Amino acid sequence: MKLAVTGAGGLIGANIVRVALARGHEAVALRRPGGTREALRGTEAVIVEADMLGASEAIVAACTGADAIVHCAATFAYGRDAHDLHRIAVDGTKAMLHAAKHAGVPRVVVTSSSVVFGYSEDRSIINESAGLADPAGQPAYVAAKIAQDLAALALAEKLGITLVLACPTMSVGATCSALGPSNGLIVAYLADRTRSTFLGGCNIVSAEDVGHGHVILAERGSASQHYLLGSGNLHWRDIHALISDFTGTGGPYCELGSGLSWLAASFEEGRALLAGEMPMTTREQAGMIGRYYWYDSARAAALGYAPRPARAALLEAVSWLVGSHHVARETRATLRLSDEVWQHRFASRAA
Amino acid sequence: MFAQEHEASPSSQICRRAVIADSEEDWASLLSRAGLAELLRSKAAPKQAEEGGTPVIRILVDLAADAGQARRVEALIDALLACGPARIEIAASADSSTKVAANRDVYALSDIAGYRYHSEGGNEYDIIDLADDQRADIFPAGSVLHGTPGSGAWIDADIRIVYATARFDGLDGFGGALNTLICALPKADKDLHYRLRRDAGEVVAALLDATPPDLTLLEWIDPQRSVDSVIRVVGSSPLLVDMAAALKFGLDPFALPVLAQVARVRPPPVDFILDGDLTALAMHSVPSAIERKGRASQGASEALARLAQGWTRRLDPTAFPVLRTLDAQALRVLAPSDATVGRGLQPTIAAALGAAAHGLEAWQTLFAKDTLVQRTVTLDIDPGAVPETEYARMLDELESLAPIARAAPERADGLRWRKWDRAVLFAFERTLPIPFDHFVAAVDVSRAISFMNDYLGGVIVAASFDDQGRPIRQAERNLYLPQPNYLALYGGKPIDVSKIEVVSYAADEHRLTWKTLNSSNGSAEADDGFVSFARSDFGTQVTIVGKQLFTLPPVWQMFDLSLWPAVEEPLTTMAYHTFFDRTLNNFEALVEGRDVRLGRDPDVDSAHPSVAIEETLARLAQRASPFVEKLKPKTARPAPADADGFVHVVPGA
Repeated sequence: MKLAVTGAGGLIGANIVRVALARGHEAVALRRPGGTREALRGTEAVIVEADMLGASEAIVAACTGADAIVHCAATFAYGRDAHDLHRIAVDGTKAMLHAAKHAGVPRVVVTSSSVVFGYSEDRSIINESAGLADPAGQPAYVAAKIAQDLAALALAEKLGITLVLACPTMSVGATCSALGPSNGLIVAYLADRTRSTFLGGCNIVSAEDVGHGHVILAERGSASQHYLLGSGNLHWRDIHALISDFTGTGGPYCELGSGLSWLAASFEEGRALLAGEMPMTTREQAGMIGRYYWYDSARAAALGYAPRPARAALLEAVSWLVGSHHVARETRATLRLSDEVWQHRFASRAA
Repeated sequence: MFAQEHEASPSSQICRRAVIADSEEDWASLLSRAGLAELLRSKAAPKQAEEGGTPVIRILVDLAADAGQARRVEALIDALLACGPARIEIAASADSSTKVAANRDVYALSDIAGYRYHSEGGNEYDIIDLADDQRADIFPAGSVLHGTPGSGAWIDADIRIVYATARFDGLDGFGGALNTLICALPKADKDLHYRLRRDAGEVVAALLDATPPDLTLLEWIDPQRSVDSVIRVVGSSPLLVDMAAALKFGLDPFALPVLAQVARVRPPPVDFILDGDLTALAMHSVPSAIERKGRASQGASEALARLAQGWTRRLDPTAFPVLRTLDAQALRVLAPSDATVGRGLQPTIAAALGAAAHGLEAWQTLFAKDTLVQRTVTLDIDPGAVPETEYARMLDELESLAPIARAAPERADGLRWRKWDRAVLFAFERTLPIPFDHFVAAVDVSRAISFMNDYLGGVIVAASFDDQGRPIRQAERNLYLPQPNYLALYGGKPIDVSKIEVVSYAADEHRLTWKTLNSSNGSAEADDGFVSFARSDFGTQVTIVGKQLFTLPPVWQMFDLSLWPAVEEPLTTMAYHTFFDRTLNNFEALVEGRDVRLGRDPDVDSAHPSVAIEETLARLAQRASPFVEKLKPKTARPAPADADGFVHVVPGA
């Protein structure tokens, strides 16, 4: 099978390319022009630079001959301009579906997100039968993803393309050139000397397993179906306690509600503004505190999706992050890695 | 070396002499009176003896000095050529300390300064940029300038002359011949490379070693041009010339940081002669002690020093247009003024900026270490001159102390310490789950000290090697942030220690043993110890044993903490535990292939602080603009009625 993967320079896209190649498929990696090739280093994928909102001829040419397209290209960020997020999610997906039609590709997997199914406040676990959430009052990223799914389903039907929607949960792990919100949450916790955790929880999954999930969906996902790709449901305090165990930081010591988190996020946004950097956390993310983004991946499991446990996903992510440039030297100097992390690092290097 | 030739030459009497003139005595007369005309003739003679040989005389100047400099230098050229034929070149290089003129190259600056390529006497001269011919390997290992380029043109000159105009607007409140010597170095950002990341005194001392000038002239002429306000000093040694000038300005020469540092490492001859009237002139433009202290304190923060340096320069704004709005506004308020009110403000401004720099340094030390600039220093020990018995005695001493340290009570995870002769005697052991061979391949034990926590910079020079080319005897000088870091809040100095070291490489253990011989800033009375990497069943056992006694800031010295063990013990334990935790993290980082050096690499370009501030303000303005727009009235304010009650409107508006 030949797969064309858009957004291949990102965390999930790069993992899909790697997994596809490992499973014996051919892969064409489409990535944004001008970005680094760090995420795809060492792969044998054909790399094509193309802007999803730019010249469609280049995308059509790259996708021609593919059996399926996996469309990951998106902006995953909280606190960004809603119009930009919507344009990239919706217009980018429409452009890609049109390109698929022109290139004669019969099957497309669009990377959506688990958050399109909303959240619970009573710790109940959500699956695909919940249906898409009401976008009103949702963070701009979530609203954009819901709009993307609706637009994609409608257009795919019109164009006669088999569309499958992959909905990864909080995907953490190796090989991303830019730090997205998921790995960013780990880095933010390591940098936070107060070792604060939050109320609520989320579903954690290894980015590599999400890559596997996408390839499975490209191979045998049902048309017009959403598939949640997650692993373990954990409270934030348990996630942070695991990170502390892996890095010897101690903590977490206090649990913040949305109000204090909002204040902390405001401070971080102000700091980032002064420093000319991207904030590690935003007020929009703080608004999600106290909610339970817990999901069930049984539908994908029925197709053979078998992710590693959340703890192993976090171990893998922490092991990679502490050796990357994403963790500041000063932050890294405060960490005392567990033997388990060291062993994982040596094993990864040997592999 | 040239300096040694000077010492041994028949002209040594001239070399230990500086002549002072209080009136505008012409150059020819002054050179002759100082015996320097004869010295120049003797220096030029070998070249003149060659067929068609003409000596090349290069005159180093600071082009951003006062506007009348060019005519006086041209007069000097006439006086020099009266001594014999020569090719004369004015030598300079761009200097970012005049950052308001940073958009000017040497040729544009010389044009602004009024250099015409020919003198009043009809003699022609040329102008050269010393950055055009950069040469590596000029400065020896251990020199503060080792590894940086020098100017080939300055080195190759047959006769090197420094022409300085005394100025009082620099970082240390007085700039004379020694400061002008820095213009011989090619890097444009002189503040950063030669005054802030390095000690300016050490830089000048290194230059004096490598390229000593043959003649030094210093001038100061009051802008009001009163007859009694002219000072001219000539001599061979820039140090003696600056000393004489400082005395004429009513200053203690050794209170001037650059001069004091040069005098400390390259002392003047004991029988020096300052020939002339040394009575101090009454001059209102000499900065007060408070102002000079404030200026020197600004160097504590690289960013603030570079930011404020341009704000206190006395430059003609028509000749040197200001590049950035922020600087223009600051110059308008802060620049030195001849007005009484302005003069009165200068010490206050300088002291406030100095205090702000210390505050900023403390903040960076505690919370933003990676914004500090890495430092480069001179090695002040000659490892080859240390006898082998000294190394052996050091090893014996540490062997005796190690069991005492290891028997101390365990205070924290792997950390033991006790008091020994007022010092802290400690032993720290931890096993890292990293195979020994892998570990020692990544962590070179001979450089282990430079990998430790809070290492800000330093220098290592090996004295001898084993048969595999690894150093086994070496000397090292290193700078650390104040320990514990919070001492920076109380004026704690960086720890600056110079050590001799022995390195051993056994099959199952690599070890570095050190003993401190000197602390040039008095920050440490003792810092001796060893670090060992030993093979263990579980990986690599890291052991650090040592004896340390650091000088506390004056505020802390008021309290004898040894009388209060309940306070002293947890503070000491916390300080050492933090230090070793972070040091081992650095070792781990090296195994992972990550950089552990603290601070910003000054060789990597970064925006000037004023540019960074302007960018931040622009970002804030951009973010605030939607709110500002909202605050604006939605509809145009109605035009007021005139005296007759009519409202006037423009059709279509």
